Amino acid sequence: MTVEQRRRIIDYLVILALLAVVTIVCKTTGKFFNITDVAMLYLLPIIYAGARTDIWSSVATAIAGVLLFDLFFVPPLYTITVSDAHYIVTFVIFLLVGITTSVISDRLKNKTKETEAALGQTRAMYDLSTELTAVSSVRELSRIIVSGVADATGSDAALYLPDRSNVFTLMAASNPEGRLATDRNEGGVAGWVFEYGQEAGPGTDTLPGARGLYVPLKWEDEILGVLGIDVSEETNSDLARKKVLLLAFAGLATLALNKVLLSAATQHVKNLEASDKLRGALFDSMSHELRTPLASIIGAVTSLTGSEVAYTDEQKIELLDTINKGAARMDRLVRNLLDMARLESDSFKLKTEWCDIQDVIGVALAAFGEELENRPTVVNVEEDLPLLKIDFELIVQVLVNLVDNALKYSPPGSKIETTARHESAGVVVSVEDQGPKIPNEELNRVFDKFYRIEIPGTAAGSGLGLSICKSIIDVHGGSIWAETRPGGGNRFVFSLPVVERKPESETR
Amino acid sequence: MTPETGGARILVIDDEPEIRRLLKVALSAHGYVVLEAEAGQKGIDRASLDHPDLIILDMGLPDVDGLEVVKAIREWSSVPIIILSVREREDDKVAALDAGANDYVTKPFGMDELTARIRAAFRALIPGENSPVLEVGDLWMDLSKRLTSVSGKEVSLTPTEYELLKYLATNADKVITHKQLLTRVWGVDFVPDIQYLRVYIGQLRKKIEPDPSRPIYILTEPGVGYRLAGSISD
Repeated sequence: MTVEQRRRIIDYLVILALLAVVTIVCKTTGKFFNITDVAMLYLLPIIYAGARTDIWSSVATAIAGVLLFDLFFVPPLYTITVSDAHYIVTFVIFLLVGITTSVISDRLKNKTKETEAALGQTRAMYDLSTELTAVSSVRELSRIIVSGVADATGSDAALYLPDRSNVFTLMAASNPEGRLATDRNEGGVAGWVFEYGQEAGPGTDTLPGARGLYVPLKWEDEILGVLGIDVSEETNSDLARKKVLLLAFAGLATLALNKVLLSAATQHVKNLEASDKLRGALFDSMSHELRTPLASIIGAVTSLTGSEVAYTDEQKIELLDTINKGAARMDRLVRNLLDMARLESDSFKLKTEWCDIQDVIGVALAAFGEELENRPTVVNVEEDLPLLKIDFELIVQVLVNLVDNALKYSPPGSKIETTARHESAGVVVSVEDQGPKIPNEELNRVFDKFYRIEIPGTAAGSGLGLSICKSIIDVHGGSIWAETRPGGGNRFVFSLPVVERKPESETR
Repeated sequence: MTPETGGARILVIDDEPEIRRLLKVALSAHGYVVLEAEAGQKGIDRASLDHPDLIILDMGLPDVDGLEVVKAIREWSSVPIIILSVREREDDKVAALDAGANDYVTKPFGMDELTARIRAAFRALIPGENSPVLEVGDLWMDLSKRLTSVSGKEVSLTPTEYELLKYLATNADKVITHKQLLTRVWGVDFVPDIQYLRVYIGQLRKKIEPDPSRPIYILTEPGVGYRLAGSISD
């Protein structure tokens, strides 16, 4: 038995008790009450019924009151015959009091209910608006809006927006399997609302046969999207109430959407500008970087295939070596470009595994093959360095770029020194050369994309290698910097964090 | 001309005409007979019809995935397969090697590198060469006595180091994947963990390499595994 049912039964018992008490008290006290007083006392249960129960119980109580009054107090006693038309008035008054009390109390009850509901909705909207301000993605925002609307109205809700490629789509639905979200006709109705900027669905002039009621999200002259709720099961009064709610939520959604869309638009413009600038620099750099090795390759090949001159074997080997070096240079450049594209793509993921930094250095130096042969190359790796959890290939690429840089910007035959040691910052690796010192104010800028320093007498780089080094070290949570050596030359240093690992088992 | 493989027939499966042309010219000059297929399915067909002695397979084919070609051929043939692949696709390489491919060469590759792989693959086919002594450059191993020496100086290895080196040396010039090494040396039940491998390879290098930072025997194949450089003695 519910609380409501129990309450109702108690009310009925009280009414019966009151009727009985009034009858018994008035009857046993004899002439103490005159007949008018008795009639007044019978109003008590009727008023109680009106205030506590529904209109039909009040009418029934009024009838019961009249019957009891007539039976026990109106002469002739113990009959329901009414000799005096006077008592008809009493009966009518009883009925009127019962009905009026009932109606008034009903109205009061409804008012309270409405006030409570309005309060709940205000709270729901307040909660929603707080939640919405914290969100910066359109998709998340849409999800929050539909669930907020669905909670407040008790109906399935759907939000339609133009997607990234400007196609009008269902962005979020509180019940993705519901008819509102799955029925194609509903999408059509929403589309109409989006196009004409007017509401549609039940209770409006347009497409009243639709399942959902749709309102446009209008900001100034622009339609941002369409918000709808399923009202197919609603009565007219509920429909009106829900429409008011829907409009209120639509206003809130418009504000929040507009804010997110605006910031996204600003960001997009900024990105476009930056990428335009970068693209320009990339083309400048690439046309130079690709053409130089290509020129030497094509030049050497056409020399060899041409029939005008007979080259000696020595000359032929020299020409072939030129081709080989040019191709190797292009290969490195292509690797850097691919790495850059990979690092900047949205789906980029580090492929980390446990690596020995000495192994990484070995692979990087081996990549240069003969190019390092006429360079004194010193490698100092501290004993028992911890293994690092890194992307092997990417760190190899960092070292290849640093060594390549050292080769390019230091005099032929000068020493290149690679060192790895354990410091508080992690494992620190440095590549030192004997090239002309980088001016202090430039030391930080060498890692900027396409930044090149003009140093007379040295080859120009792509300005790509060092910026890729920085990106790679950054995603590893390490740091990279350049410094000048006290004795002359430059030192490029990077650190990689050391992560705890499981101890190994076999003893040495 | 390599005496042991003179006239061997090599099937090249690659969709790039320029690569096929290059391989045809270069491998013919080395004394091999070159057969060609420009797509995966055609390659599988030619492999079954022409019975080549070795297959060079490009992983990026237009019709069938290179890995599928390896699996298809391995259903009925143990012909050596050398994979051509770009650097960015280590996972494909490892999958193909674990599926039964013998070796790989990364594009762009040097012709000497490719011919070294081909020779190594053919060498592995020669039966009855169960000599207890392995010799790679200055590195010398006597498997019957479990002895290892570098430049005539004996080095003492732990059992695990010895097993590692022995496995690499008996497969000289051939790439061995991390997984192959881990299961071979530590056993199939061992949870493969690359950390162990890194530590032991580091220790081994310290003992046998003249400069562990610039190894000449145990070479790292990034993302794939290790290879013992046997071509030092070639």
